[in-house]
Amino acid sequence: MYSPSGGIPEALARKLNAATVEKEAETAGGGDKKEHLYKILVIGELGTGKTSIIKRYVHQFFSQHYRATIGVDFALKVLNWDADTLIRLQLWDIAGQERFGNMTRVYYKEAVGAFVVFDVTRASTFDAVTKWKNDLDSKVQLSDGSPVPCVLLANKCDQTKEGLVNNTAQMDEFCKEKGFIGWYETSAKENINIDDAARFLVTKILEKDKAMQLGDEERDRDRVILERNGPQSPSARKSCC
Amino acid sequence: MASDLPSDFDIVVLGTGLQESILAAAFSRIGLKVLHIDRNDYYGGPWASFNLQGVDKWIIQKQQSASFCCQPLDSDHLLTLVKEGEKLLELPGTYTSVLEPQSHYHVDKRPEINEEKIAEDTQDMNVSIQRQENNNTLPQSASSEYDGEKDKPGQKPSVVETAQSKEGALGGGSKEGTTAEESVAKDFDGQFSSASEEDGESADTPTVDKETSPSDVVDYIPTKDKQERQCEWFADDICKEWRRYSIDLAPKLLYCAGSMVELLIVSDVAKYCEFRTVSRVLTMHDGKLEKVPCSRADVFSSKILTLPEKRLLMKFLTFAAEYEQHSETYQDYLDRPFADFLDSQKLTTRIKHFVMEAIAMVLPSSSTQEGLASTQKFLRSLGRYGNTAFLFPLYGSGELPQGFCRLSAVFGGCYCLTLSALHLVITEADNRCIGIITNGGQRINCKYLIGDPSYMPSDFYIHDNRNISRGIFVTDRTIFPGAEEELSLLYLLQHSEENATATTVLELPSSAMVCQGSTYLVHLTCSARADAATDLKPAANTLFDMCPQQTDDCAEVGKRKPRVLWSLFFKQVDLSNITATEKVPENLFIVCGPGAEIDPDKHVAEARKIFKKICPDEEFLPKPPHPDDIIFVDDEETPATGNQSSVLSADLDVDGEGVDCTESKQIQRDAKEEATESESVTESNVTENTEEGQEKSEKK
Repeated sequence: MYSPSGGIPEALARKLNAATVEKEAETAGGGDKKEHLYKILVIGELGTGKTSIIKRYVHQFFSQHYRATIGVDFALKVLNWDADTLIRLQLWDIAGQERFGNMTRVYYKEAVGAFVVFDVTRASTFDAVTKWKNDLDSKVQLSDGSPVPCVLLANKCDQTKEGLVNNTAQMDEFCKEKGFIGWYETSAKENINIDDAARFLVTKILEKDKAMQLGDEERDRDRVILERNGPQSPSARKSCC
Repeated sequence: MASDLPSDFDIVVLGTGLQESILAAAFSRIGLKVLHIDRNDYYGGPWASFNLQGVDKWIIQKQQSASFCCQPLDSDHLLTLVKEGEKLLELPGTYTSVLEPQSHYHVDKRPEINEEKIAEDTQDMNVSIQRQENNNTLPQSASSEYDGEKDKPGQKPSVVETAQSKEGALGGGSKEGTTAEESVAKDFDGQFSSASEEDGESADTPTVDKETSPSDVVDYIPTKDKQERQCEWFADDICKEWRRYSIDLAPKLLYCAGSMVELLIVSDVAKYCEFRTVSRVLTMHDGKLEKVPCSRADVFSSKILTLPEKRLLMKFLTFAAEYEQHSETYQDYLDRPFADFLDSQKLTTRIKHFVMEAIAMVLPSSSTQEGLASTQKFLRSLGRYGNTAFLFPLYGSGELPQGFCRLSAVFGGCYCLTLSALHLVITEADNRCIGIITNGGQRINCKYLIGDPSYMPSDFYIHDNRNISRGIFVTDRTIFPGAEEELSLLYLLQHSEENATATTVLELPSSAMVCQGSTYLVHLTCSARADAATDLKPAANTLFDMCPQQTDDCAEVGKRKPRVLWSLFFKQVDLSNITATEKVPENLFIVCGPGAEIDPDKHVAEARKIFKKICPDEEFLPKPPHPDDIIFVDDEETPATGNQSSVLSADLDVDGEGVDCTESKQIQRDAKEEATESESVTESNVTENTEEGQEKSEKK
């Protein structure tokens, strides 16, 4: 019944399962639900509000004080997408100090969606958007070789905007040219558009996922995940990438 | 961006290879401030894996040898960075750890084809071809050969001719080519002599062996279709899928019960990696490849063993698994060759061969002690995850160091690529290393410095001047067809007049996520004697068709040896056995690089040793807290600190200023309390558990 479609190690999925599925099952009133586990990256320059966006989205929480997180790979958001679908989003933040250099491949690996965040008050953070998008595309793709669906977030839109973001037509053009599937003006502080942006991205991921159920199960069956509680060879799993 | 780099750290680590990364993770994990830098723009140093484009870039860098070219720092500026009683020690800006890298496409570029069939792919393809053609700086790059070919369609270069003309140039090049293999061997000579003479060679060196007639043009076969094995290959088929390749500079297998597997599990770095089991161990016996039965079930179902042989082998394996308990059996042979001991056990030639060359994987000259220990390690790892003793990390061994780097970053480790140390800051009084000067001219203070030898002054260490020859091939099919897509290990022992040489062959299918569709990625490794292509030639010619002819007869293709479609040869300096000299400051540690050994367990042990020297009382990579157990505490609240502080000595500035990560407090639940995981825990619950956990650990 449980078959995560994202490329998330099943060991992890099971751990998460233990912690949250039961909660979820209660609220959802049980029943057989289709479950998806998706890894989503949140990238962009330092101080653009990546962590705040994640906190707002996952924990409904905003703090002026910036604090890098220690010991956390990702935040988990559970979505009751529709009556038959439960979606777990793993939102992977840039670990505090990877900011000085390139990200490791394990960060990008098997992601199925991404947000690139810039700060509307600082044009320099917008200039870096292309760099982040290129880095993303060069490090990860979906299994069919297509780029990972990526949404551009113009964050801190409650403040005075600077540069291109003031021109909607040009922003649309920019997104088209750079391969973003869309863009949103967001504010983690005022909780503007974050849920919408996420919903949009998840919709695209679901479409992709549906189109790509290519029969990779056979190959995945033999993947081995190392676990604390002894050896195991996971049963059939599907993967997006 | 690097200008915001804080300038005080507890530990500075130079190089992102495996051992360095394990250490960076271990120190970050216990709350120390770690700066981890690499002079390259990629992770892993000599442990890296690249896609095909990355390989091209890496080769160019290595050939220019100034891969990391830094401006010497202004000496006046340097003086301002040094205080009274300190001196600077210059570090090597570059280091040549890789010699003579050569990559080649062994197949032709695709001639004009059914345009519309590949229309959807052309854009992608053009990009990669464009990329290839831009690489003309590489005199021997495949692209320039293609160009020559494309521009002169009438010309039909023959490799045999080339081989003959090169034969002289090869000088003492081996001429052992025996009847059956002669032509292949010659082809190989021709091809690789031209490769190794790289600089003098003009761009039109023909590697391509046959003209392509219209009949060769077959329908485009999508490479992801695994069912239909592609029988005709063109260079474009490979380079357009460049992203699907992950080519390890230092391929490693993990013993299922080895210390790397244990460390991955304990540290939770395992969550960043997935693996495949090596599905079979092959051996070359009497000129034929055979699958080695290693498990009990394998032995009994084996068709190549007779019944008495099965009993003999089982008896021996049972003994070897717990050989220490039967010291009387092998006592007299301990320091004598393993082969002699096996003879004394009255094993048949075949069984002896299996044990030596496939299970223990030792040279005939190895001691009984060595052979038994190696056999035992293999046997202990059997059956844990699969039919053989080994695991291979999906996407390549380069994932391992990166997994540890991510763990380090998640615990506050500071990462910066393309940054190196140009000078060490040494105290004059007691020869301690208290900092580095980066190539950006910034002084960074540290309490301990760790680095791989390539960053260190050459008088800091001695190494045994050995090199490793590596060959990496993309082939069109497996060396030994089996029922499924297999991941194979072959320890190929080849006897020459003087001695036996061993080549480790690792054949990876696309399900290991290292190559495209129906191809295989093959790693050949041996100790270097000459250049890599020469060293590996006997093994390569035994197993592969190094100079494939195009053919449109798929049935015939199936009968031949696998064809090599692309190859990379290079020599790597073996820095796996280094001895630090007395010049090394006591708070500076030099780690080892990758060697020719099959597994990384030695590096785990070395990393642990260094960690314990610096932090004797701390746990080495304990299990991280479950994400759900981390509670974010506002600054006003009383911080409930986990095991983050109380590290090292009291004077250590664990809190730091520059890095914002220290603001967040985390609470860790005792890892043993797995039981509560299934409950939906509330924050107070977790806090209680944590306190219990802390009490427990205090009692200890």
